[in-house]
Amino acid sequence: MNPLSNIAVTVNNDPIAIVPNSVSYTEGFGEQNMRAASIGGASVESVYTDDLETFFSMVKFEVYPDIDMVKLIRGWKSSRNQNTVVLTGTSDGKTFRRTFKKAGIVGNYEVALGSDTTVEIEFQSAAAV
Amino acid sequence: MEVIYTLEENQLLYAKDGDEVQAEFITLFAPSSKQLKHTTFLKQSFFRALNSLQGDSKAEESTEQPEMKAGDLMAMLYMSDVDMNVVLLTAIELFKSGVALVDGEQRLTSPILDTMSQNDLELMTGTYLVNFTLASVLAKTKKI
Repeated sequence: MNPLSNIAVTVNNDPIAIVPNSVSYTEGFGEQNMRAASIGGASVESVYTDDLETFFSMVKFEVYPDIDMVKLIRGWKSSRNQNTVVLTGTSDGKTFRRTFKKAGIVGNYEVALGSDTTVEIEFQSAAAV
Repeated sequence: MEVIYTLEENQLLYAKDGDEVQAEFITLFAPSSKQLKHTTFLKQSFFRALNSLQGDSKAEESTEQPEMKAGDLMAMLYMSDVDMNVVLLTAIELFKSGVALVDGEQRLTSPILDTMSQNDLELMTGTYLVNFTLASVLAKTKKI
């Protein structure tokens, strides 16, 4: 078994050079609640509900802050939620692909400038497909 | 001058306005001196193929046709001694250099090309060669 460690990141059809091992995402299944409903006699039934407010995905990665990249990030931010992020990779002869549509950088991202600095970019998007 | 290549297989996806949409055609543009490295290699490959097929009646017939089709051209290249791996990889680099737009609006990048079928890549390469790179040789240009 070989874990997925060599992921390619594409934003709006452009391949992005990222810091290795910096990619992570959430599937967008959201959070669920498990509560108890009393039915008498010290018995309970479980009540399982979806918290639809959390049915979004997050995808984040780090990049190096060169001039072209800083310009690209500004473009992603100003595009609001009109970005598409795609992660692809292969492992054990199988292909991995996740697409994050309607993605936007909702946070106030920080550009650290220096010889050994990186910029962490986090997109919020519709649930990954 | 531009030429429209209509995709044969519906599997080319690209990002547009935050969604992923299926491409229907590729708009091809004439090369400039920026693409010299790629176009000269492709043109040279064609003439090498022609040379290696000299004496072959099929090759002679195909070069005499006034309306050479993309498929015929690619078949001729495949029948020759030309290394088709290098030809197609050069064509990929050429398309990525800015002479191809997906649905006439999105630059063809490597992630998009990765999802293109081999059949479409070959036919699009043939279309480009017939209409641009070899247009003067084949005495055929097409305006759309």
